[in-house]
Amino acid sequence: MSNSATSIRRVLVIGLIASVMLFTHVSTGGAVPNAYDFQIAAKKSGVWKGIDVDLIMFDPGLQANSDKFVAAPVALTTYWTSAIFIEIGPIKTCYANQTCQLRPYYSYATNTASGFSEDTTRLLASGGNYGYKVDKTNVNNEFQAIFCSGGGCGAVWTQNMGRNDFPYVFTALETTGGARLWPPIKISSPQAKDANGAWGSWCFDSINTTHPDGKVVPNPCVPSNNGWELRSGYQAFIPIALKD
Amino acid sequence: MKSRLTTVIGITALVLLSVGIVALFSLWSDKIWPIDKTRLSQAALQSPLPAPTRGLTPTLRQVTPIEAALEYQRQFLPSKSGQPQVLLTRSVRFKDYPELGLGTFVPAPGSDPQLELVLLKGSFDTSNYGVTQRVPFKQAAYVVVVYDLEHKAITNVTLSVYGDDIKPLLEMAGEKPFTPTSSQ
Repeated sequence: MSNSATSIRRVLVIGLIASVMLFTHVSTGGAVPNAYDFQIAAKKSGVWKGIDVDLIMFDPGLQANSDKFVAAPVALTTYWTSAIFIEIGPIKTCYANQTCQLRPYYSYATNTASGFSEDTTRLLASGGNYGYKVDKTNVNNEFQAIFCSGGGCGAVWTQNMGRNDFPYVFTALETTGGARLWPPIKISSPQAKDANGAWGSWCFDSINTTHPDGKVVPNPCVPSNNGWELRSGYQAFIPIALKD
Repeated sequence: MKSRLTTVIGITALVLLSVGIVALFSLWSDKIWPIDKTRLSQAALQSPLPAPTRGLTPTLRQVTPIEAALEYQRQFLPSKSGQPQVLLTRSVRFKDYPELGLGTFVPAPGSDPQLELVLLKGSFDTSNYGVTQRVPFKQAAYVVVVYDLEHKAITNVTLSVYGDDIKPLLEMAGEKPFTPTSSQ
């Protein structure tokens, strides 16, 4: 009887361990472990040398060890499945074996190199309004990613991008976690730097989403608006042009 | 005789019933789980690092920078050519980035954590790599992982297809960048 009970216990424990390992494998991302599950992006085409927005990300309510993230890139990009881009923004990560952190991040990709950095030296406040900017420097092909807080602005990252302009300015909300409803991100005071190096207000001319159940209901967006919100939802993604 | 037999059978049945109850109780009792709980915890602790720059909570997991780099590579940048080669490990600071070919990073004022850089060489599959946008190449020969020893987290991952973007690092490791025709 004792042997039988031990055998049952062993079977149960092995089953539990297998379940935990299976769950761990699935929750750590599967085939595409470190990419977003869905994205809503507001972008404007043109010839761009810079982007500058203020952005608020509220706490998306991720659970610790849930192996999920929510990011809000502010980017210059060629915008395609394999993009050349440089971006900066807030990211909240709640991966396994880690407490949740809301930090600035920076990423870039050229034809021959890429980099991803999470700024381990800065923590952001949930709901805080921070400035994120990417700007061409006076050096050929070189761009800066700039982070602004109450303490002022500073060039955080500098990178040779192998080009001097990009066809899109781009803001987005990107998440793992499928159909979860995340709080909207708020984008205000959007500025973009054109081919002549002049900064001016901009507003998106297209909205895209990758969520299979999502649909886009764009509201009129004009530069006189002060910004917009990007919302994730199960059945709809609704960008909202904010009034002054 | 029959009465004795009945008594023996009764006692045996009672003993078996008791053993069964105890076994069932022990099966569901917390008292039998400590060893198995330890195994579960070890299984959980052996789960791979899931993404860039995740913190490694010290109480949960203690890893060296090389272990963190190799674990990251195994999960997100699978090797097409067997075990990658660790070309270089080096203690660095953020201010060293430019001379290493890693761009420029300015940490928060007053923050200057000690970092450990690990340079890996191999044939890494990047076809699914990218956090918010996919990288525009399918393979890379070099991976640089910078581990923040103070915050116990990977703070930077740089990929180079041929190595010419990180030439200073390769020179430190006695390597020369590939030419496009020879590497891909």
